Amino acid sequence: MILIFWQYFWREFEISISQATDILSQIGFFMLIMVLFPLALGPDPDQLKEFGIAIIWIAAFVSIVPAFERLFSDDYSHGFIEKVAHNAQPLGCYAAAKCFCFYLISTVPLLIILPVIFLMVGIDLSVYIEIALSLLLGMFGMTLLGGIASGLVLGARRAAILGAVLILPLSLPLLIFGCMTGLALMDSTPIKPHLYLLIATDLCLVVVSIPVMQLGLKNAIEND
Amino acid sequence: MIVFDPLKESLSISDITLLRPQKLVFEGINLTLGSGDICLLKGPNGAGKTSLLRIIAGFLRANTGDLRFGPVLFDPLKSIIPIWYVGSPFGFHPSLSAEKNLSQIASMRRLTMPVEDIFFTQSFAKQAVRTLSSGQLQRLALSQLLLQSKSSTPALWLLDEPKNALDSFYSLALENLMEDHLRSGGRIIAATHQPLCEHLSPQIIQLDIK
Repeated sequence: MILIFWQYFWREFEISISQATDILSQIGFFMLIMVLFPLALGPDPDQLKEFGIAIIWIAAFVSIVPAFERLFSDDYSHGFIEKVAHNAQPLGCYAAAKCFCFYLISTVPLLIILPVIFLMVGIDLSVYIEIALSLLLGMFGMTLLGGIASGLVLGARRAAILGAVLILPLSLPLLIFGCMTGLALMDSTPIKPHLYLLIATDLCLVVVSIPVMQLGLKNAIEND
Repeated sequence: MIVFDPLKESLSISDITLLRPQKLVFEGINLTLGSGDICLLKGPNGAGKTSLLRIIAGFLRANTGDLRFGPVLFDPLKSIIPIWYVGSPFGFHPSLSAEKNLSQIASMRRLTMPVEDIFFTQSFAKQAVRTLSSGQLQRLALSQLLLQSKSSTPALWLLDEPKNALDSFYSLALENLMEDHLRSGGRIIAATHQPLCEHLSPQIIQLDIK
């Protein structure tokens, strides 16, 4: 099972690398949202600093949503999921590997450009580690939510917008706990409780998402 | 515990009916397929050949009827014998090379790459799948059937128009491969318009547009 997980992971990784424009466009989208906020809010550094972390979280969540469309739909239309279904290993293993790779591919570039974003909104670089950690946890949960939604809407018409409508309301706990981490950092209060809440949400999502994705994929195969 | 030898049991399909919205595609399809047997699905376009094949592959739910392996119900997605469904879409990623796609499918199923390259896929092994012609794509898809397995359980092959886009040389190679497979105890169900393995007197299911 572990071996097959890594095989799916590497397959996905190779495909993602060969389609690097997808990653670049997601990061570009993130940067654009980040640029729009200061333009709308005005150049007041104190105000930007106050809203900065919340803006980063919203931009990160909103920019990842369009990318979920490509999570399963390519493999579905190429017939690869059917190939996986005839394998002895469960579909959940494939879905988990796919989500994990998607998570790394979409989150790591985000963390790399995060210092630039900090400069843009005037957040001190000394909090990078904490913010990066909370984003890592938040995006993990977000990816699993995206996996659930794209599994469920697979094969449906207008799947992309339907997926977004499903994901964003469900992402509220992650958004709230994530932004609380940032606010706690600004107020120099302990951030651990908020990180633990993020971890707890992620763990719940791990338990729920894999069977749901498995069901969604199976259903998509059987109903086309 | 029931001792169960998949080699000896036959795969039986009984009373399969498929309804599409406001349309009966086919009803009461029965088939018994022992080890080493071949069945051809024939009929005009739109008669439901691919749908029937997909029901047997587990990709489509029939409205009535069931699949059994010997006495027990058979779930193709948790099959005790290996199943190969070869039909469009083939499951290859267009931006990866032909070789890469094949080796991924091999490692996914813990199989090793074919020793004998009877469909001559080596000539385009490094090309991305999106650049292949339809004949080359068909040959690559059929090459999956050559992947070597350690287990001795002969597979069930579900072939959807396997001779599509093949020239006479590869058609012959395919027929030989199918014959070898049947001789070693495998089973084949193929949807086809063209004559296929006629000398083996295959069972034929004739589907018609209702």
